[in-house]
Amino acid sequence: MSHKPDDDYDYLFKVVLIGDSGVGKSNLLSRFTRNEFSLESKSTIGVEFATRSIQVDGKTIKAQIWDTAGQERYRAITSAYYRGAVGALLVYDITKSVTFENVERWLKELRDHADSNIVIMLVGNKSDLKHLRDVQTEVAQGFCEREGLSFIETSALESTNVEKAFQQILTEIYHIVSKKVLDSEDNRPKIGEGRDLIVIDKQHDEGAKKKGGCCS
Amino acid sequence: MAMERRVSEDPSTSYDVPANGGPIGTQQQQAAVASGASQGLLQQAAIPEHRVRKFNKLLQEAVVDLDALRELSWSGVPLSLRPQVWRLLCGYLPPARSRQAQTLDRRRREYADMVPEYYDIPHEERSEDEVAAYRQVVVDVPRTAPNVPFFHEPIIQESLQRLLYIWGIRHPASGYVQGMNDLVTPFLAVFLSEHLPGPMEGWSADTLNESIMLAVEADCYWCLCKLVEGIQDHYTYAQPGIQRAVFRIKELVRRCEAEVSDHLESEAVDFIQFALRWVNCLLVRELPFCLAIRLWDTYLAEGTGFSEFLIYLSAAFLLSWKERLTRLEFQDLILFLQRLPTADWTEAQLERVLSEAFILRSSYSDAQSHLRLG
Ligand SMILES: Nc1nc2c(ncn2[C@@H]2O[C@H](COP(=O)(O)OP(=O)(O)OP(=O)(O)O)[C@@H](O)[C@H]2O)c(=O)[nH]1
Ligand SMILES: [Mg+2]
Repeated sequence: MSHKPDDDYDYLFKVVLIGDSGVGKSNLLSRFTRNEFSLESKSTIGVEFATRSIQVDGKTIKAQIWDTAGQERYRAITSAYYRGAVGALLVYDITKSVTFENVERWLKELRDHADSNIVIMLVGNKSDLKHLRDVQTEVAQGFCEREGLSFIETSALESTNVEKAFQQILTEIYHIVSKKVLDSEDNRPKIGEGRDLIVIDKQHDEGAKKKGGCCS
Repeated sequence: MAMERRVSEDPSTSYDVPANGGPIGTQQQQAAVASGASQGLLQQAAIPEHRVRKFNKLLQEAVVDLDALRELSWSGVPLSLRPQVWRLLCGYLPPARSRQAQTLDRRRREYADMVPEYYDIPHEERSEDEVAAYRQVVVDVPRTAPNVPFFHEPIIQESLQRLLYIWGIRHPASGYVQGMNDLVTPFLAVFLSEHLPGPMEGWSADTLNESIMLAVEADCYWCLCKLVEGIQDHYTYAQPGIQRAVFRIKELVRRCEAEVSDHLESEAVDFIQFALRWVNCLLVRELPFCLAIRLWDTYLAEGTGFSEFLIYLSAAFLLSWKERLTRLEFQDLILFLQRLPTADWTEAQLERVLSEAFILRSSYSDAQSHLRLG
């Protein structure tokens, strides 16, 4: 079976971007997938989608990222996209404490609608706006330690830590998944072509599923 | 319905007479005939002179025949007449000309009174929900129509912020919902065009004073109210109106192009993934701005039934890429559908889709098919 080069991946992970409106989710996504930033991006209506592949431990990981609308009104529709996601970047704006206060609500959303073992990373965006900082790093850090989340501060504008945030969550997911695969080595369907293909998001990659195994 | 005959009777290809050559004798804005706007944000393909004359004739009657105006407007309203025609089609202005000035005056005053009542109040006096609504509007206004620089003038931003916030407070069933900012933009451009001559790219905010701006804002406000009136349930909790509309678009596509719908289904593409935004923003987001304005002519001509027409329009819009769609796989499908290549679409292309939608409605709308016999 032949694959297009950009379709040549070992793992496909579905990740969602959530958090209040205006915190910079869409710009984090465009920075990561297209290296673009816009001061006047449009608000997200419903969901938007993009992908990018990165290397972890010599494996190609393809991230299929769903960027969701921040406004509460869209939540009934967007929460359907949490299903099958193995990672969530929960974004707040370091210059608006209310967006940090709402993190609890977003965590509840994930508990209600996402898989229970989803990997969550809290992202404090707009770190370039130092003079407007409203949420102290230590406070967010402390919160994450208590909740067992990973944490990073980013700037989509200056491109600080954006790569790192995605790299980190995808690596974390990879480690969990590859460990799981090793644990269940014997039950695993035999995979041809030396490809160790794990499709997390069964629904959206029928073709790939046929080629490989499925871990969840 | 009066406009049923429009498509067959008036082929949209007959644009051979320059629109702005003849005498356009309206009551009001001779100056707004943006003769230079052949390209750009307020651009318009030339409208045949006989059509312009028909418009003028209708508008000069003592009582404007709204049915006739709807029928005529469906295929596009001349640039210079849009402000007046849109106000009439929205039901914002009464058809009796003798009452128009007075009504306009009253409505604008009513709006002006809302500003101190709802907007110019200290933050502490707002409820928690109101503060949240305010915050949402403030986040969205700067992200409104990024490709229309004039909307980013401070005076316009302030105006948008006020009217969207007030709209939300006055419509608590839905409140302000993201995307409504997009719905105001056609009104804003058109009502501003009465006060700012020439193509939009050359407009200067310096010539706008507070009172002109407040009048424009009031017109936008009331027309937005009328537009959203029939689609309130698009924006209430869980957006049932949109979910229903998206479902109907999907069903319609299945009935008329099974191949496309089968392909989307086999690729696990769900209509909600792309059509939510189409319906939520009435396709404004999918088209260049000048075409959104042209689209508004048809919506407003459709009147209260426009949300029904939107179903057919969305299906026709989707099917205009049917060859392309059936060749793409899941990922490329989604990427393609969320950024359709319409940037250089012309009015003629949009009108083709409108005609397609019109035909779809005639063929698939059970309720209306009998009308075609007449
Ligand atoms: N200074 C600064 N501004 C940013 C940064 N990231 C995003 N912004 C700005 O913040 C605003 C909102 O960004 P978006 O990416 O549209 O926000 P969002 O979270 O996707 O918002 P919704 O789609 O409404 O949920 C835009 O004006 C961006 O330019 C950042 O890192 N620094
Ligand atoms: Mg966004």
